[in-house]
Amino acid sequence: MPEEAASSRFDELLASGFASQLLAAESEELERLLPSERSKVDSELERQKRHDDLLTVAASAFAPGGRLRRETGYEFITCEPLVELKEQGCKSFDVLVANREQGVGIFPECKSSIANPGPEIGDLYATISDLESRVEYLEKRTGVPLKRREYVFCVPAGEFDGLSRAIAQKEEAGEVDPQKQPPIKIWYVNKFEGLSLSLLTQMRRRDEKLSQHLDPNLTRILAAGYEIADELSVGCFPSSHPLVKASAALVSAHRKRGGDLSEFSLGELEEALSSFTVIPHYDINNLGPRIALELSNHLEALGLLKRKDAKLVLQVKGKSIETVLKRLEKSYAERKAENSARERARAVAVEKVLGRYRRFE
Amino acid sequence: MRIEPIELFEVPDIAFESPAHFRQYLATEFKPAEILHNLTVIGGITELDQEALEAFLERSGFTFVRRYGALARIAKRSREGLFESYVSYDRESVGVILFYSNFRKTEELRLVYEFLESAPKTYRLFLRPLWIDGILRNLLSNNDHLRILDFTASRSFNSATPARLRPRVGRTLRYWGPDGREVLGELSNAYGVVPKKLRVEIPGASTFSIDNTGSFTLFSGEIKILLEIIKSAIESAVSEAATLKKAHFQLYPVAIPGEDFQVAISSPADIALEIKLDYTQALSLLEQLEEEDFVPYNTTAEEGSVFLRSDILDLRTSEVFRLRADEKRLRILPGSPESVKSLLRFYEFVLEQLDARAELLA
Repeated sequence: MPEEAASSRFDELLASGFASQLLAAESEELERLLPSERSKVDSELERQKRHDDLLTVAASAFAPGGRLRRETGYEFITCEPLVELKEQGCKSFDVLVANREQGVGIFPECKSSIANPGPEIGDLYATISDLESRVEYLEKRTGVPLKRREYVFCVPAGEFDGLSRAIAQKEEAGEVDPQKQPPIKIWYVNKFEGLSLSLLTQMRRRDEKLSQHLDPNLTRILAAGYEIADELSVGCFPSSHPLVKASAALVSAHRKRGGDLSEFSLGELEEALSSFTVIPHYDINNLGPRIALELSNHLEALGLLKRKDAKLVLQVKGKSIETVLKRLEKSYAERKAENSARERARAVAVEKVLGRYRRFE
Repeated sequence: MRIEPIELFEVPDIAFESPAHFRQYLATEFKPAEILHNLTVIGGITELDQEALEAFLERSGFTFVRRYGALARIAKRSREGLFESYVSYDRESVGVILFYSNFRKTEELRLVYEFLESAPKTYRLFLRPLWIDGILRNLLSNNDHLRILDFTASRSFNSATPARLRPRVGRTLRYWGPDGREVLGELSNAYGVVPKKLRVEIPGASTFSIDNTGSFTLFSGEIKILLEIIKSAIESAVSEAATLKKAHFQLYPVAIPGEDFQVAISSPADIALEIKLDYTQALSLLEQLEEEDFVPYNTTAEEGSVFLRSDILDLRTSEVFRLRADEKRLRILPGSPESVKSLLRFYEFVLEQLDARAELLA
């Protein structure tokens, strides 16, 4: 039963004399579901943080002042190109690096783990098609010529094997035609011994040109594994997990003014999230206020924030930065887990009660 | 009980050409028996120039009473009464500031520590356990009869320094006794403790103490040996500060039409671990950080071969930096141009809490 339908059915039953049975069933089910929901919320947060880190590494390889930038001319341009068009349904890549002179843009999409590569590859082609139809806009907005474009999956070192196999299979099966469609390349990040970004230069039964960059120099350096030293210093990205964005904004407010961090204004939140040094995106002046509003709405819907006059008041005990950060993370996970557990528990409770009733009939 | 007022020891009314000149004067002329209490020297490293540093001393309530060339006499009034000290500033690749005073260590000299803690881009000299080890070995090789009269040694529960007995227990030992030298060796073996403070007697020469918080006290005898030790401590701290300067933070423009788009780039400093960091230790490290006024946030950690990444806010300076850790290395990346003070504090934290033999990579 869809959750919405379950919820209205639950309300109907509640009003019709089954209240005590229903509530008992709900609470029993809730207790059973909560731990697993909580761990789902935690692992989703962890997954998104790892994704942000991959993004940081991929972008940092092309940092100004670094060897890769110097020797190849490829530079970091922005995180999440086109994310400002999200509301129009446009998907966006994680990073844009480009060589302005050659007019080449490289678009990495980061995946912290790939359990099921098939659909991920399909999604990537959907993102590519959204981008291809907006190249002119992106060129104009960033001032970077993008005559030729390359698309890359950026994954942890442990993930490239399965992914490259899946890409090769799709191409062999004719689901993807790399002569007509842009061939996908793979970067992988090794972070257990040092920190490096590499290009996977060969994939099974695939012309190696398809796996390599247009610029042989870039291919050579990335093939050898590029050690990352300098990094992009960022607070968060436009699509980071809400808690990551909230932490970045809170720390920024703490550094600016200190004091009671359980209360702040929307303006303050907007300001914190509209800074290039917090979110390295070309459109952050417009994007920041939208991200701030989205974030405050999200926290409000979870009951973690209330609007009081012009103030936003966090519904966590404590005022100091360390307490607010900690309590916010804890309460967020609890509320989020409870919300989704409750929806599922109601559906189960309705089924249970109706089941008993049917048997009785 | 009437407390005898302390007076700062006198120096001749001459213009010292340099801080080294003043130390030469002390080496030949200073007589500990002629002063009340003991002479303590406290060292600090600063990136401020002399003018800025002196301005900050004045802002912190110190007044410059008199100048003797490269040396100045300063005073500050506090609840305990008047505190006085000499201060010198030397410019090497970073600034070195030394306070010389015979005021009492716990009562009045805390004002010096408070100053070093609060002054921007300034930090007290920190003596690494390995450096103390080296100094001790050096002293022992030249003085067979050296005695350690008392010492404080400690280890944290998360420390990887080898310990025979209950290595997961954090402990601090304070010992007084004429056989301190032997006991320190025995306790280090058994309990894995690392010395933080030592009072050393070199028969026929002098008795002095060194403290890893950058203070040196002469109790009796000649000051020469202690001055040599101070010189070596400064050299070591200056070279560390130079290494730490590799970690910096810079804004670079990215040409985007109509936008003043800049990206912030952070260059790291690496701490090589002697130990092999494991996952449990990495997680404990985060908890220990909180006890030292560091707030880790946006943390992610992976097991297997260990990997940890966290942003860290230093509550004492309000600066942020990023930490990346794997089995062999801790990498710190400043989150603002002013984070060096926090990075150094973090390095001290690592030495004290995790790995006494960790080294900043040049």
